[in-house]
Amino acid sequence: MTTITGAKAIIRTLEQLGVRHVFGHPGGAAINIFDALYDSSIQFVLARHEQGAVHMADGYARSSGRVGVVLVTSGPGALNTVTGLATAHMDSVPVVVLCGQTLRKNLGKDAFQEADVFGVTLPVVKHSYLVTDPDHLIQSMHEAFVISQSGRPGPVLLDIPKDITSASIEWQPSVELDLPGYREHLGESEFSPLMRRSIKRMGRTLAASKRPLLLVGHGAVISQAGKQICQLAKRLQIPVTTTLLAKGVFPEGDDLSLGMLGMHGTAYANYALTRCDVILSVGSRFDDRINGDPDRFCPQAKILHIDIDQSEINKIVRADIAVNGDARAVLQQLLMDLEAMWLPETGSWRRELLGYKRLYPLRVRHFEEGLSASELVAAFQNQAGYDAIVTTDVGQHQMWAAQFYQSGHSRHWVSSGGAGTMGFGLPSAIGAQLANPQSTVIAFVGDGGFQMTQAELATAVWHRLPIKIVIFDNQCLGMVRQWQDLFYEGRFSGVDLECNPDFASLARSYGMESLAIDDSTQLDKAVRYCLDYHQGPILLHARIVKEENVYPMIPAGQSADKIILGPQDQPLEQPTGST
Amino acid sequence: MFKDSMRTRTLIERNPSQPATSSRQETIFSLVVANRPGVLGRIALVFSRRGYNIEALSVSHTLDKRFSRMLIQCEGDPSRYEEIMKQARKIIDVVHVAIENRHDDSDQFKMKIAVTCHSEKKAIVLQCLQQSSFHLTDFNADTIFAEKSNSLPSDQAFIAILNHYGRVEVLEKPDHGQVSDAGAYAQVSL
Repeated sequence: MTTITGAKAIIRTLEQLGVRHVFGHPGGAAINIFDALYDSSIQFVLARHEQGAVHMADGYARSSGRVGVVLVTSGPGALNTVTGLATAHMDSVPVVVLCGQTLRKNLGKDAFQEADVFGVTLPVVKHSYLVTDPDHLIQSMHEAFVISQSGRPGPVLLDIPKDITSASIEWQPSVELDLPGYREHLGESEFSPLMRRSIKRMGRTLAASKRPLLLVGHGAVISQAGKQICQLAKRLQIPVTTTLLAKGVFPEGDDLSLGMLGMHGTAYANYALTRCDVILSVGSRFDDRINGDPDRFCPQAKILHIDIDQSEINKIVRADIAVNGDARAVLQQLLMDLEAMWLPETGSWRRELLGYKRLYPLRVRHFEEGLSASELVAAFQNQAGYDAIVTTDVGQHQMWAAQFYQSGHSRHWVSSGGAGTMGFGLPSAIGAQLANPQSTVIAFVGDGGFQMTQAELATAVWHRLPIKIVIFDNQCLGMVRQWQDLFYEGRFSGVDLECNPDFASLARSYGMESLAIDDSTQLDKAVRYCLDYHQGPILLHARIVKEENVYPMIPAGQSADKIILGPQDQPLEQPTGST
Repeated sequence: MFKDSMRTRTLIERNPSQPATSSRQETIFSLVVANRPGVLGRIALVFSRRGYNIEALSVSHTLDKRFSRMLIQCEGDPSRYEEIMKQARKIIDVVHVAIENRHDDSDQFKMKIAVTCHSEKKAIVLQCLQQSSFHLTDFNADTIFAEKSNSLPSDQAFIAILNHYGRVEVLEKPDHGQVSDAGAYAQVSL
């Protein structure tokens, strides 16, 4: 038996698990681990702030499907990861965060840089460990990786006291998992007779429908069910709408695609919700962005729900038929069952939706003076196409990007959905580029969110990552401004960003290439230049028109039929939904 | 003794300002959990986040010291029981969750069974039990003990299915009066 230090065991376990990149920030309580990292082939990516490190790992994981690993120190270092953990937790992203911690004997004694990280992070992790026995260290590491990736993925945190990383422990090349409460997500899953029956009933319901609709969520991306979604849609000729996070799982250029639904989704996808007679949700959780009013969600439809997380079933919308299982496996079975059934006749339904699509398309706007956000996104779409990985921040630009950047592949759309974390766009692009060195990575960010994590420009420069950072600068916090404009009589409060820096000069001070535009005449040339520049990161500072609002819009708390398609003459009532 | 003092009962509305739709009820959740640090904190969060007061709590070892059995008495809106159970079950260290005495106070329809099976089959047996609203009371290396408070005559068929996976013993039979067919139970209990 070989004896090694806890720190070496951590790094060796990471190597064994195939980890190639670790994101983080060092500190006293984690110094032993950093020392062990010195001899490792794992590439360490030094973020400028721990929040950035977790978002990088998050973008890495979303764009590749592999676990993103973060290494930070105790106290403030670990506490800075909370926003990132919550982001990953809300969107079911496999991230493992390793935190240094003070010595075991100091725990609970307010030692320097001590914080109860285990306690603080309880509500925002899938699972967490405070390692108090050196012999449990390797076991906990392995379990953390298994838990973070299996079932419904999520972040797992390991809080590791410094005397554990310096202790001598026996190296264990393999461990037996001890997760008695988690067995159903491990190993072969077989359908129970009840599930088989439910899947068959789903098939019959779909086959008997006249106006079926497929609602695809992030769960379909995670379980790699893209192929099955396409097969199902094509064979039954069912229109498909996706949530924000599932963009790309079904090619948005396809005739059957209705694009994104929800608060700022397309008019025709939301119209389909109000008219469909059967809706099959695959890995979506009916959250309030797509379902402002659960009592009036798809009023005419039978609701079929496939979700791997039992607690999502009947949580918000009561399903008529629900199957608790992996999206891909369930769809495979469903496709097999459908082979023996008549297919639904959806021709008139598709024609109805096509009419609506023609009537209310998403239109790229052009202004006589100034640049519109939609033409900026469209210019990138035209030149970069389906193959680019797009990350976004949160706000108006995120919605414009979602509306006008059509995605054609799974894992090519990286955006903070559930948590809506500003500051996500730039670091997640860094992670996505590291995971996919050959791909074009475009980060669409707003001027507000970008400034929350802009320090990570240094990280992108240091690693010479050829990401394209596109700042939508409207000199204000646009989405809040939009609400104040529409629902609060134009009383703009706390949204002014008029003292923004010259972002192009800022980028140059980091040693980066940059350019700036403020109208559409130079747009195509600027975009071409960005896409052709490969020596390192490039920043495009685009000054856009401030007054432009995102439409269509369903006011928060309202059902899909209350959609607003464009600017209104009368002032609107304040929404009943929270955000 | 503790259990007996914690029978489910609907309380007379304590707070008149509360809307009539969210009737609050006292109930006992019963959990089997892996004996790990932090598990109680995680469970408490599930209740507190949804506005439930935990009014009494008991934790005790099971036969296997790696696991504990928890009884949590709390007061809250019964329409969210299902959600609470699912959220609690989602916690990695929680093995099993059930509501004690949800429907009636009498033991008339209670059924207790023990399933002895190979370790490979345990997962499927647990799944079957869960789907038929049985809940786990205890287990050791090769036997799972489960009970159901509102058992139906149709559970015979379910027991017959379970026999495919292991040996089923009926420890306590429900008294379904004239509907019951005791012979059927004898037959499947082997």
